[in-house]
Amino acid sequence: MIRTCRRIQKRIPAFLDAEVTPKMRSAVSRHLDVCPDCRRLLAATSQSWELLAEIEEITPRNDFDPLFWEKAREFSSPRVSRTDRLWARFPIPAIAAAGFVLGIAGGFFLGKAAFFDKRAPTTQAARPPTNGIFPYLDTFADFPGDSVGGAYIAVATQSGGAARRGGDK
Amino acid sequence: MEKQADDPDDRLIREFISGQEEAFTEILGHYKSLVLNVAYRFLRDRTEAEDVAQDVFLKIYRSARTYEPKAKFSTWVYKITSNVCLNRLRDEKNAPKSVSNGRQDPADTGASLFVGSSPGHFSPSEELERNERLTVVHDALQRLPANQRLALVLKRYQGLSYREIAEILGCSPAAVDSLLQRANGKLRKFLEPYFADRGVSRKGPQS
Repeated sequence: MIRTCRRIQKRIPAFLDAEVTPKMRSAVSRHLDVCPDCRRLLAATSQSWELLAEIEEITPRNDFDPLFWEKAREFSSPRVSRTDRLWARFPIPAIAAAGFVLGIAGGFFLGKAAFFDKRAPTTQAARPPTNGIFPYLDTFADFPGDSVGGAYIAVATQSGGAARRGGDK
Repeated sequence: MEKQADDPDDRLIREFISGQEEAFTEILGHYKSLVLNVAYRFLRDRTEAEDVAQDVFLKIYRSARTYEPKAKFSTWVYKITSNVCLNRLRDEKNAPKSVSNGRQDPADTGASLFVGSSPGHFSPSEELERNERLTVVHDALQRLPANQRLALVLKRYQGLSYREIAEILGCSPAAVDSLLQRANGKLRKFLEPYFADRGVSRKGPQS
């Protein structure tokens, strides 16, 4: 009986809401006829629902519609793009970031134009690859002898020459 | 909730999408009370419920173009209302607590100030008693977990079927049944002392 009661008690809200199958409905009805505990539970459930009616329906305030249309018009006014909103929100960091990116890009292109475009044709044309050294190393050949670049060229040239000489033997 | 071919709200939203703003005024008229009351019973606070209702209609206004008429328009409205209510509750939980942030008791706010209540028909002692009952019921509802409370509000106040609630909450009717079982069990437990105080008979119907 206790097991049946548990099963029936679980179904009581759905039974009251007419959300059970006809078979379950008749099973619950039959059980309620003979079980005072389950009848009490059913009554308590109904009473708790009746108490919920204490929270009465409220009506919207008179200014509900005007307030909504005010907000809706704000939304419908000329659209501001996401980027523009970002600029408006963070003007200083955005300007700084844009300046940084432009500076890097500008510096790169200016450097490229000034260094590679001017030097590469003269040095490479004037100094064709010799001694088995890669042609691009020739661009370092103009470094003064006491500089790091000059030292590298000297070492590379000597070791290349020594290796070649060793190979010849 | 199957979509009905002649759903008048569906026609209204189509008219609104095609550029007739006045169609939205009609939608507002049809649904503002419904949205406001779901929010009020779920959140308890009238001011907050008004805010939620405004948010819900702004969302509908903004996303009307994305509305797919697969289900009834009212289901879509309930879905948005439920989401906004749940988000509001979540935001409130995450917000730092302040004295003014606490929910107001209906007794404190004066239930008779509510537009929906009927002031003037009760004596002061009756009014006090009524406010007390209102506080007890509000408290009981607020003690339920959010999803159970929402299911209960949709069932008890809006009279929706388990299937409709399932569609709104994005779960199965069996899950709604389970939510409501637990909600009703807790509600009964919370309100039982009140039955006793009020001298309400707990005997079942005589058969």
